[in-house]
Amino acid sequence: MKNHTMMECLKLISPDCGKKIYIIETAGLAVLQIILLLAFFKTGTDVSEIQLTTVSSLAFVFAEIVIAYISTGGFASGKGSYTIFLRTSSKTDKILRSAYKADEIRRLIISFFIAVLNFTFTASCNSDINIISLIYTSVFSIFSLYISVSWYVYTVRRLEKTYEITLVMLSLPFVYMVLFNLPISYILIHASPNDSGLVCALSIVIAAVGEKLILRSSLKNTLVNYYGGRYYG
Amino acid sequence: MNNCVEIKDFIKKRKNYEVNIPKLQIPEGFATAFIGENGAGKTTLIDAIAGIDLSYSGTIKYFSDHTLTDKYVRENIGYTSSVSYFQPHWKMRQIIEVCSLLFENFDKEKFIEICQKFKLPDNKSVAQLSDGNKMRLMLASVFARQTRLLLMDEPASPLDPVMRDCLCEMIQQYIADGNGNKSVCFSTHNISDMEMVTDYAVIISGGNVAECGFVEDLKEKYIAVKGEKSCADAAKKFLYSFSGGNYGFEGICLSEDADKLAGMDVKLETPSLHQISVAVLKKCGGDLS
Repeated sequence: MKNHTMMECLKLISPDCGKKIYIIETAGLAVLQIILLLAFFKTGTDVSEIQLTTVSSLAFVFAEIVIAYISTGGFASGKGSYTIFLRTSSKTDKILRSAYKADEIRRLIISFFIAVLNFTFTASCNSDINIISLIYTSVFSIFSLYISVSWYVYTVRRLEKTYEITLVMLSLPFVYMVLFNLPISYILIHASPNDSGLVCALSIVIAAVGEKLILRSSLKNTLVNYYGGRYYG
Repeated sequence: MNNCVEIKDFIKKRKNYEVNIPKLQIPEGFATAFIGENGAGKTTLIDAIAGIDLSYSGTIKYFSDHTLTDKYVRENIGYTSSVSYFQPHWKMRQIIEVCSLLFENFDKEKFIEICQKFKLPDNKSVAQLSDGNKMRLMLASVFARQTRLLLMDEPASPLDPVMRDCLCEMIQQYIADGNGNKSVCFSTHNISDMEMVTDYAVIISGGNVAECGFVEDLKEKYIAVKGEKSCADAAKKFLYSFSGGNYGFEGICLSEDADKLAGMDVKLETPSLHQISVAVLKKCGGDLS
C-alpha cells in the first residue's frame, strides 16, 4: 500500500463509489421521505400513530430495497465478471478490510452528526419535546451505529462461504427500519405540522442524507467484503 | 512427478447439474487442456481451482501441499475469464494501476511490452475494444505477472488464428521459462488450434472426468480407423465414434480393440486430440451416430 490511501483504493476497486449514484440515491430517498411526511400531515389526525409509523417504516424498507438495487446495479451485479478479477488477488481482502475499518470512524462521526441534527430539527418542529426525546433520539442513533457495525462484522464472518450478498442487502433495510427509521418516524409524527412544516420537511431531508451516508457506507462495505472474496458462490 | 493441482472428492452442485470429480491430478510443468461440451463443467472447475468459487465440497491442493488460503497460492495463480473482467471505462492506465495494486508480482514494463506486441491501443477504454482485444488485454495482464500457474477459461475462442498461434507460443515460452515449475491450464473448444501446445488433456462430460492423461498416452490408447463402406457395419460395434458417408467411414476405437478389426478393409492411424475428444464425448453422451 505504498502509493494509495485506503479511499483511493476503494475508488479504484469499488465500482459503486461514483458521486452520481450517491446523489441519485440520496435525492431519491429524500423525495420519498418528503412524500411520506406530507402523507402523515394529511392523514395524521385520522390514523393512529402506530399505524403511521408502521406504514412509514415499511415504505422506508421498500425504498431502501429499491435504492440498494439501483445503487449496486442490481442484486446480481456482485456476480459480475469484475468480482472475479478482484477475487483472484491475495491483496484485495486486506486492502478492503483496512478501508472498512477506516470507514467505521467516518460512520461514527456521521451518525453523531445525524443524531444532533435530528434533535435540533425535531425540537424546532415540536416545542413540547423534552430531554427524554433528546436522549432517546441521540442514543438510539448512536446505538444503531454500533449495532449495525457489529452486525456487519458478524455478518461478514457468519455468512462467509454460505450466503449470497443478496441476503445481506435485503436484510440491510430491516436493520435500519428497526434501529433508525422507526424511532425517527415516531418522533417526527409527534411534531406538530402547524409549527413549521418546512422545517420538519427539511429535517427529513437532512436525516435522509445522513441516513444515506450511513446506508451507502454500509452497503459499500458489504460490497467491499463481497468483492474481497468474503462471499463465494 | 509433482502436481500443480490435486483435486479430491470435488462436488459442486448447481440447479440443473453437478460436477463430481473424485480425484484429479494435474501435472506440474505442462499445459493441460480442459475439453468438454458446453455446460460440461469446465468453467466450474477452473473457477474452483482459481478460488473464485469456493462453494463446493472436497479439497483442492496447489503446488504439492498448499491451499488457497496461503497467500503464496493466489500470488502464483494467474487467471483469465472467458469474459472481460476489467471495468468497461478503464483504459490501460487504470488497468496498470489496479493490477499494480492487487498483485505484488505485476510487472508494469512487461505488461506494456506485451500490450505493444498485441497491438493494443492505450487510448481506448475496455468497452471500446473488440472481444479479441479484451482477451488480449487479460492475457497481457496475467503474462505480466510472475506466476507458477495460469488458469485460462476459453482463451482461444475470441482470438483470430494468428493470435491463437501467438498464444500457443506464449504458453510454450511460459512453461519453458519455468523449468518444470510453471503450468498452464485452459479450457477450450478449439482443440485443433490448441493441440500443438497441449501436453495433458482432461476430457469432461456431464460434470465427470471422462478421460484424462498425457496426449501422447491418449494417442497410444486410442486409434483412428478409416475404412470402406462395405465393412462399416462390422467395424462399428468396436468404435467409440463413428461417422459414415457414401464412400466410407471414420471412427475411433481403443488400441486394444484394433486386433478385432483384423481382416477388415480398414486403415489405422494415430488420432488427433480433437478426434479422441469427440469420440470420448460422443461415447459418454451415448451418441454413436
